[in-house]
Amino acid sequence: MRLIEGAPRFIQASHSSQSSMWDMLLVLIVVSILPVVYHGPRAAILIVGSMAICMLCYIAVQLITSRPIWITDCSPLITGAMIALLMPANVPYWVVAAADFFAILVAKEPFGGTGHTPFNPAAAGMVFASVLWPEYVFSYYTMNSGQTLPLIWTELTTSPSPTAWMREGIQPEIMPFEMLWGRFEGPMGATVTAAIAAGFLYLVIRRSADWRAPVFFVAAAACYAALFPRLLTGAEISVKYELLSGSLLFCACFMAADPCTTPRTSIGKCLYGALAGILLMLLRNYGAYEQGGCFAILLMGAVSPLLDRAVLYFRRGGAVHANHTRPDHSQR
Amino acid sequence: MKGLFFKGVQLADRQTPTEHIITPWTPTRAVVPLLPREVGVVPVGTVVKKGTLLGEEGGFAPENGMVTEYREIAHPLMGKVLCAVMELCPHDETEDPEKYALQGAHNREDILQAVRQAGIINEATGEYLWKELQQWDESLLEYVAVDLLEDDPLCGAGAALFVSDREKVLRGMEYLGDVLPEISRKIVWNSRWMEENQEGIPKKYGLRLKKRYPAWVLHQQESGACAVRIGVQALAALVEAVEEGKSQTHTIVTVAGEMLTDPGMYLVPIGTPIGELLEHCGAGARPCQVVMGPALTGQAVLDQDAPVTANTQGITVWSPQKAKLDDRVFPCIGCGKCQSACPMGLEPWVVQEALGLDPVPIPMLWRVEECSQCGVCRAVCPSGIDLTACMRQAAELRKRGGLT
Repeated sequence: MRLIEGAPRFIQASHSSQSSMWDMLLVLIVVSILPVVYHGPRAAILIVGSMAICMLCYIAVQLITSRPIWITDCSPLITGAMIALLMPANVPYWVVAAADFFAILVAKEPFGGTGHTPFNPAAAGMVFASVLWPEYVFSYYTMNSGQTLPLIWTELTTSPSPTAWMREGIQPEIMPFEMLWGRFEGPMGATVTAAIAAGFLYLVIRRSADWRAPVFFVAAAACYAALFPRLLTGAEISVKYELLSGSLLFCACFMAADPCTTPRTSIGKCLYGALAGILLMLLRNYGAYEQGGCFAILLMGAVSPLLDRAVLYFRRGGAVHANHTRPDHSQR
Repeated sequence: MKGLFFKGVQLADRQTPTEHIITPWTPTRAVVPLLPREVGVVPVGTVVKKGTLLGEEGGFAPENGMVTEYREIAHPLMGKVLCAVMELCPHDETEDPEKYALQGAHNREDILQAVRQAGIINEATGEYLWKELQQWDESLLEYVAVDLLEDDPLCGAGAALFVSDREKVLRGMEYLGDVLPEISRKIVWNSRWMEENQEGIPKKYGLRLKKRYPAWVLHQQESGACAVRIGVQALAALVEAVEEGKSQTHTIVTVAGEMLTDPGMYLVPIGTPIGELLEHCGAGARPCQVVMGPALTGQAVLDQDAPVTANTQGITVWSPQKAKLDDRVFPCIGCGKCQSACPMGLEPWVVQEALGLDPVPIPMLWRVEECSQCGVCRAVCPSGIDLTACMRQAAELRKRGGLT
């Protein structure tokens, strides 16, 4: 027998940073099955291409800065998949590519890569594309009109998404079943409500994502929708359409669950979620664009360190007393 | 709020060994640490009887044998320590005279004296029991708890010892009452196995804790009780010291790990060289990584002659290939799991961040000196960062006043 030196491998929790990223990637791939079924090969090209571009950008940056390349680090793939899923299926390829470049080359790698990003790269890429080319990012081809989506981008008949209808104060007419399975106009991955909810549940059960921020995100948005409905038909219908149309659920479940850009403290996570939800609703109501999810996530990314500091500040203020009331007899 | 967010970590149930059977085993050599004062009093070449004092104040011959040399050994739990190396011949069954056996009534001073002379170490804390008994008597404790906890899946000989000899432990409780008349006593346990084997624990003593690791720290934080722990082995040694005048010469260690063919709980002499013990347990000739101590807080062993001590509790053996795979450390991704798991409510991620800055901002090292070094933060960290070491480093930094 020979004893060897090395970092002692103690009992380690089964989930690691890597495994939770792979879980997230798996969920995103499962979520993209329905869009591919609905929109055909173009959707698949968009998603796979976007993931490939992000990965290539990451590898290029690592090569230029001569840092080691971790092929097992799948966070660029996640960013790529998220950007593609938040785009309409009839978006030109180059818009997605531009968003990918921005996400990796501007929002992610300059800050130090995985684990150090202050802003969600996918949200940053989406915001970049939305601001520069809103006419492509927010135009959805009419899904149930029988027209097929060609591989090469061509002008198609478009219809406004339910979120756009609601901006005008008109109630969209979508069957509940179609709403659940995402057969209506909108970002191709963000409308498949059932798949997103199932994926989020999987992440929470596997402990790969924290439930606090997403749950508070959706709850706050629902409260806002109930209190200040855009539709005249009542709070209940307003909540249903606000939550199930557009990118709200996708942003809440996958972007607000990203540990890097959300606060570290539990209370901070809850606050972050709630504020992001309200911000999203404010952007939908008063902003220039019909989708506010990525903007809300990006803005809250700037606030999340402050939320942490605030929570820590108050904890310490309260804990000073608790410290002195009781002698400490804990052992070791 | 406390109940809403679970503190601590749920470790697996007992992995190996599955049976609570204590097997006695004696090595051919013993490396007895001469603590607390590292001075050997027996000349090299002397044949000594079981129980003979080898050092000035501590270090007892665990069996009959011959002292062959004195050596300094780097011990993972105790640092550098002078040890007496002995060749054991345990088949020579001459009895040691009962030097300190107390007869009749036991008063406080007699028991304390017996405990001191027996050199008993409280394995729950790693301190000398006689010192602790004196301290406890002077402090305002609510109760003393006998530790039968099995939240650590790779240790927990205490519960097995209790079940095999309940009477002795209960007698120990009586003696404890003689020494600490003002303080109530409890027996704490938390495993399902103890649930099935708890008959014999009087109602007034029984206290069931939660299963999550570290059960004791969590219980103290939740109940706010001012209490201390005593290990079952120390209590049993106390009984032997009082009734038979025996010194603490043996201890029970849980030897486990994927590299062993024969894991189990072994009753071995204090001073058993770890290499010989692992050979007996079937470690084979392959290179392996050995950790001494509780599963989450143990230290790596590099010297085959490092002896088993009274506070060792557990030895785990890992295969190095498996260790390599998980060695790569990710950056902190900011999940906040360390903070929500920390039983003391500390903020390991803030400390880790602070230690990366220069100069280290001392206000960020908040309450670090309260860290119980339970190792939960390191176990839950998905990035595999050694946060426990960060906390220890920060506490030292804080003690020194912030100068690196």
